[in-house]
Amino acid sequence: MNPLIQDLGVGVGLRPPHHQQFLIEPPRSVQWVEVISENFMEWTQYGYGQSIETLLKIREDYPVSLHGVSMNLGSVDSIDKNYLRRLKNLQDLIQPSIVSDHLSWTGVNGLNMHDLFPLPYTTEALNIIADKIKYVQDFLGRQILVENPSSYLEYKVSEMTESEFVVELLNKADCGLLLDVNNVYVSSINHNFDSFEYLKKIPSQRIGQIHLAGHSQKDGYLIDTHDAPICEDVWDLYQWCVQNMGLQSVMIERDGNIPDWTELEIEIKKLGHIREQILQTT
Amino acid sequence: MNKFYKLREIQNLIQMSVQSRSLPQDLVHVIVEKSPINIKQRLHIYQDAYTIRLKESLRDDFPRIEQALHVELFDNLVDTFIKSTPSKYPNLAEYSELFLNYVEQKNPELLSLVYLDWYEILSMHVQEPKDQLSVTEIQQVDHFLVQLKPSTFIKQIGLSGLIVYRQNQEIKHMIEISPDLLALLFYLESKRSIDDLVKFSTESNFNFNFIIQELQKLIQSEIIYCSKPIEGESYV
Repeated sequence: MNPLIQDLGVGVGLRPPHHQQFLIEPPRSVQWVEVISENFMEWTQYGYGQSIETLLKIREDYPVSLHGVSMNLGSVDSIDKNYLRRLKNLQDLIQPSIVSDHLSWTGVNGLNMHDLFPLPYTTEALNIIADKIKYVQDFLGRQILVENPSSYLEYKVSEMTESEFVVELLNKADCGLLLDVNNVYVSSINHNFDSFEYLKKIPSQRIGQIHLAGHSQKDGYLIDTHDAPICEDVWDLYQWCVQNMGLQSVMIERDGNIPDWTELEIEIKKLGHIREQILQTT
Repeated sequence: MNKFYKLREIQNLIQMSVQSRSLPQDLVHVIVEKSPINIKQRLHIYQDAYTIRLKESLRDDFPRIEQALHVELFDNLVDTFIKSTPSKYPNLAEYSELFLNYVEQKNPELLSLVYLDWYEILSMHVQEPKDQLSVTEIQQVDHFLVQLKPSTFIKQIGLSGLIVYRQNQEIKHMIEISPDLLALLFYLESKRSIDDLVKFSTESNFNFNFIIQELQKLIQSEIIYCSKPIEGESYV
């Protein structure tokens, strides 16, 4: 099994508009990159795409994290073996430092709704998702990270809070957490809970990676759109994490209104600066 | 006493609600009602995200169809497609392929446009062949085989056809190609030796010089490529 916790430094969610930048002049402001696994997996009929060659070249300069959106861990459907086989093939090819997916479900009865739906926090859901994570980890031969969700609804049947569910799951499945600080913040506004209280419950030794991102403000609620700069409240939460939980691999996700590299790099440098400050004071 | 909903029931209800943009009555008993927004609004976030995500993906993948139908008709076509054909794929690009059959049934007059759009995506997606011989290498070997490049896609439409291919990383296409050239291209879907082509010329009553001239053009355009025969492998 790969080590769960390793501080890779500052990373970025690598998206196609920035591929050329990384191929021609690999930026020194980032130490690793995360890519969406499904964008590089073999297609059922047409195999790997040209994009895999790009990723393999970038892999020569940076450790890579494979971040999935379709493992469907929280669904009552059984794990899609064909999907898992394709992920394993990609893992064998890329040799990623981290493999992760989401604490959510994407569809039932064989469908993929291409969204991350929240789970009810019940013992039934806990057992289902823990068993699936264990199966995936055995299949891949490594521990994986699961990302806490951003959500817009809660269920009456929930028997515990999200943070309690996360802690139970990490222990039961013996997996790591991809702590998305923006998701904690978005859900805290949408469901009216205290983000800091949520974070205090998370065991730092289980955090394998941190996500930071921006969101959209609606009338009284937030949507996790990844299409804007990180807001000050989320920066504050991250600072709290670093001060109280230590340094972990951390990266910025940007999926909409993607700016050119120079603009995105300003945020990345800010992230690096925060880490350096904490390192100096400790 | 309130009913305890099992995970399967909850997931079926949510999925049905998102697909049909409705609020099944049972969900009122499942979802927490809490300010600042009500249950209906909370579900709308997921319903909107589902429709927008799939629609935008299809809009990106089929620009010629949108241009031909204009926005409103395109949106209607996509809405009915999404309802009748939900995705089972882990990525949206593969889901788009199902749109071909749908357009063929609903708007057969758009057949060539929908294939042009889709083949451009495929042509840009696939990798270069690993066993491709360079021009110098072709001159040095005694025997070689010819075949369509993986990035070349052909489709017969009526008596004619269309071809999409990648040349110098640029996607190109030809439409209304002749039946003779189309027959040759279909023949080249498998690896062929010069002997095979002589036989093909005789059986199909094609002038062999026509075949040689076409092959040269097709190699230059990167529509086909040459590779070395593998010992012991049959290519007929």
